[in-house]
Amino acid sequence: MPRHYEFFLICRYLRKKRLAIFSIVAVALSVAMLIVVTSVMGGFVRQYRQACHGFYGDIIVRADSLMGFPYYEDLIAQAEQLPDVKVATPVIKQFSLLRIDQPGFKLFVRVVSVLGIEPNGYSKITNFKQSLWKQSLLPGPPTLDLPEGFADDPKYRDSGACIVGVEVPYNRQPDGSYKRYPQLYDSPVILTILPLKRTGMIDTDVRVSHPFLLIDDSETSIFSELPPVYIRFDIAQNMSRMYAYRDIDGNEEPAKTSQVQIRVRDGADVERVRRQLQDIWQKIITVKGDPETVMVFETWDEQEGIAPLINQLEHDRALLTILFVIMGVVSIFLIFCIFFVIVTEKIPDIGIIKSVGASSAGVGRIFLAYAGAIGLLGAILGLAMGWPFVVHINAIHDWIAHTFGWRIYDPNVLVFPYIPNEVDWFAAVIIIASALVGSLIGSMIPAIRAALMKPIKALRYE
Amino acid sequence: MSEYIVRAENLVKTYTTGPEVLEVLRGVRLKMRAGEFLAVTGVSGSGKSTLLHLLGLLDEWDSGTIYFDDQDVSALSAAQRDQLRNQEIGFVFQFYHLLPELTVLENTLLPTMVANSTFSWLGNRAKLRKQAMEILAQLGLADRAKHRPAQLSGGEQQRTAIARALVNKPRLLLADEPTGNLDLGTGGRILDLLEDLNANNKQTIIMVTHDPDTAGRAHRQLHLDRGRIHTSSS
Repeated sequence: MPRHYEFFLICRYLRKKRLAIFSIVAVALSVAMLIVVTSVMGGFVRQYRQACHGFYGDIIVRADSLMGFPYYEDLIAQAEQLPDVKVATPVIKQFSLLRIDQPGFKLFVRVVSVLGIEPNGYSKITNFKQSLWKQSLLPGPPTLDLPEGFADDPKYRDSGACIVGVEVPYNRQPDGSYKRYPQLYDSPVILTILPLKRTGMIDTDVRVSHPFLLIDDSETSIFSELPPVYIRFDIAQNMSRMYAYRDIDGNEEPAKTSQVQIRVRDGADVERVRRQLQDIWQKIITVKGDPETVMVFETWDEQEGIAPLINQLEHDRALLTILFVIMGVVSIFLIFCIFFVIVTEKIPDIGIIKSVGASSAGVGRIFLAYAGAIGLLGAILGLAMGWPFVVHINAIHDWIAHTFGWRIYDPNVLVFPYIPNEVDWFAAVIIIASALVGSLIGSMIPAIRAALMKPIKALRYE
Repeated sequence: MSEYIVRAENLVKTYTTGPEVLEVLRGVRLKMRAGEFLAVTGVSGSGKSTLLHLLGLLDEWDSGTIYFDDQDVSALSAAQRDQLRNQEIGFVFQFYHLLPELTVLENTLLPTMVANSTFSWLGNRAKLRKQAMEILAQLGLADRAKHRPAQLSGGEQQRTAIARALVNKPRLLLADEPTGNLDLGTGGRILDLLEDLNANNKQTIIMVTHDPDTAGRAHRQLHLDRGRIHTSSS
């Protein structure tokens, strides 16, 4: 059982030893850095996952072709009968050219991704409404209808209104915000959509460029090489030639969509729902005939463009964590060196303590517990440094940018306006425990050396 | 209770430095009754300090036997030897060997902290402090209790070391050149103190010294020469 002198001397050494202070600071800095890195990088991954998940259904059923797939109404109707499915909605996704020519803007044409949506259903599945600059403040579901004053405008009779991704007309400011130009809204933009014929060739016989009234913008925090432009589903269907029709031979061509997005109920087994949807699709094509389209049933995080970025962020986090773990190992070595010096300096004390009856185990415990106390105090100090740093990281970043002109974080790179500022407590607990264990490992050899020292040798040491 | 508090039979101790083997003790025999005051004398390198360290279980010997109360100490476990050193033996060294971070009172209390767990020490703290303060008062150090060793004179440091050696009321006090680092007057007062302890408290003392005058204060003297006891005088 530990004797009182062990506790007493540990407390006294901690109070009196400058080397102990250096060790505590070394541990504290390592712990603080690891907490900051894991929290910020983990925060980026978490934010990106949340942002992406907020903008896609849990499951996306899509055709692996720009031609789309038929029978989507049957798929949606039967999917919504499944107990685990909350809602399903069709989405048409097409490449397009967007032309903006407004006062205050230079003429520009950009490749965009046109998303034909049913605003009500789509906003039940995604955070579409919350992402809108103007309509997020209005009651009720979002709309892609022409506003009053434009409803009868013949220019928009075949097209309608559109909502653009905020990154289409604007660039993000250094502070992460967007400076918007009100005069851009309720003004026309031109969308050029290239419809495909049944053969997969572009239909050159129809009009491809249409004026749309720009009514709002959407800020999603999702990186996409092709920024989105939202239009009504039925209009997108018409312009993409995905509507139902009968050809000159009298063949019925069913209406098509690019994808169906499905939101499952909270806690539902997504994999099970995916299998159920695959079964439903098989039954539909058994009855209606196989359109010979390659179908993809994927979860939101399996989508092209999302998984690689999440993997990249995870990879970056792992890389940084490894680098800081290496620094942690250096800290352990530093603690080993410091404890070697402390034990060497304390050799006469060891002799004195043993001469009054202290056991070898007791002497070893003094230095191990001393190191443990240094690890614990260092970890607590590191947490006390790292925690407020993470919480106030954006204010600190702004202050550095303002004072020294260094803006380290570019919101355009990771599309988030702010650096994540929530401490990853699970990681923090692991880091603190590791600091404690690391300190014990670093002090183990010096502690064993102290324990095994013969009292008379220690007393004679100079 | 044994007739002898400590006995040594044929103690041999050698030190090996590279190819050289130095025989420091060559079959030393010694018997010590309770209440005796023994001086071990000899020139430097005669082995007298080594003998004291072996009797105090601070070092290992090559052959021979040490008995404490007729108990062969080599048969004891390390923990039992530690306990024997803590409870039955007190040390006074030539260079005091006080812990510099601790006050006089804390240095004095160190053996009691070794003897007690934190809980039992905290439970008996008042009693142990009172006991330590009584010893310090007896040694004229009551007003120095809160001073650190660096703030004390050599004589005061040695008296602190004696207080530490006595705090657990050991039956055997081992003093290694206790006046060797002190001036004549201060050294004389330390010897007076040891004599008082022996006379009034029946404290058994083995003192190592190279000084014949200092040795003369003891009841009995052993003279060591090249690792062997050559003379024994009362």
